[in-house]
Amino acid sequence: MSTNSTKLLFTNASAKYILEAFGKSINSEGIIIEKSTGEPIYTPEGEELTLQTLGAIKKGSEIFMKDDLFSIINIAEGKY
Amino acid sequence: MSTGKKKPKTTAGYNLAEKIRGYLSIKGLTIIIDGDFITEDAKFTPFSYNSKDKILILVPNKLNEREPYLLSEVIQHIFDQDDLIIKRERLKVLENYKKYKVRNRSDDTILAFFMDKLSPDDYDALKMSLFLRNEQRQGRNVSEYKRDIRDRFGERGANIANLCTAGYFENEFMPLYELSHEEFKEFYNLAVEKKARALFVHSYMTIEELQVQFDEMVEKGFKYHMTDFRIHGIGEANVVKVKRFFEERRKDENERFTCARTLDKNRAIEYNIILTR
Repeated sequence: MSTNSTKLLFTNASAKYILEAFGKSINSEGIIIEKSTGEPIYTPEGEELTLQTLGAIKKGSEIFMKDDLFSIINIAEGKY
Repeated sequence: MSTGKKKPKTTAGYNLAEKIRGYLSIKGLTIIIDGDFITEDAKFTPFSYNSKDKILILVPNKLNEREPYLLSEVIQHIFDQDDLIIKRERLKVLENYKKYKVRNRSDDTILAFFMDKLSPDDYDALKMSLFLRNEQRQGRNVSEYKRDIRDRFGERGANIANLCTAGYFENEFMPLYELSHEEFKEFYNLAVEKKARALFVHSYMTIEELQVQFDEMVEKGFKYHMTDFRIHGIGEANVVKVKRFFEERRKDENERFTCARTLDKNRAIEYNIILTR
């Protein structure tokens, strides 16, 4: 991530707009799902996500990451 | 009186979308989707731009009123460029971690040493713990990181974080590994699997602190009906410290435990404290 690259930042309150852009929504249990199928989406580590635990999204088809230090370190080290 | 003709989109509507699309080509742009009204401008306008800091703030509900698909278009554009989409609160963490990696070569040495000696999960827990330790030394609040380590790696991860903060990895485990692979393996596993029944003496622990923790362990042992617990010391200095503790400890004739030394080597010592009832 160079200083010339663009960053898009969201909060818990605006995360739903991110989901809309990717055709995702929230089920009755608060889990992020594919709008078209109702199936939960998973992090690379196999975890489900909520609006609160969504941390980042990366290209590579679509990689949804948890909002935790482990994911941040992996982003920094280019693991995804 | 209506003429039956369709009302054209207002000039402002076209300008809004074109204006925002125009910002997307700015190098080093930061876009904030402000759903919380974190900025004053967000209460009144669908967007604002700070040219000095190159920050574009988009207010979703106001933007959607005028240009319903524009926000998704912007998000997709950022995604397609493989740029970063991240929770606002975590950007600082990401930036701190990158600075830390550049400035902390000694932690890299520790990680390189343990890369082929720990399980992948333990290694990742150690990596997170080293960063946590660095942040702690900078005076930053690390409670969220501790929680993240525990959430992902459980009690074992939490123990790794504690051992890391206490300097165990570079001061005890690295030298012990050089001396004896088997001893390292045995004591490492004992340390990270630490249950309520083990107290590990580390380099930064004073005799007074050891006394306090010893008393707490005794109390915990009786409270939870344990039969015994162990005191471990790894490294020459800690072996000396533990021996001194037990030699100088003031024995209370009413104390309800006995102490037995079960391991006594130059670089490792173990006492078993048997609780009597």
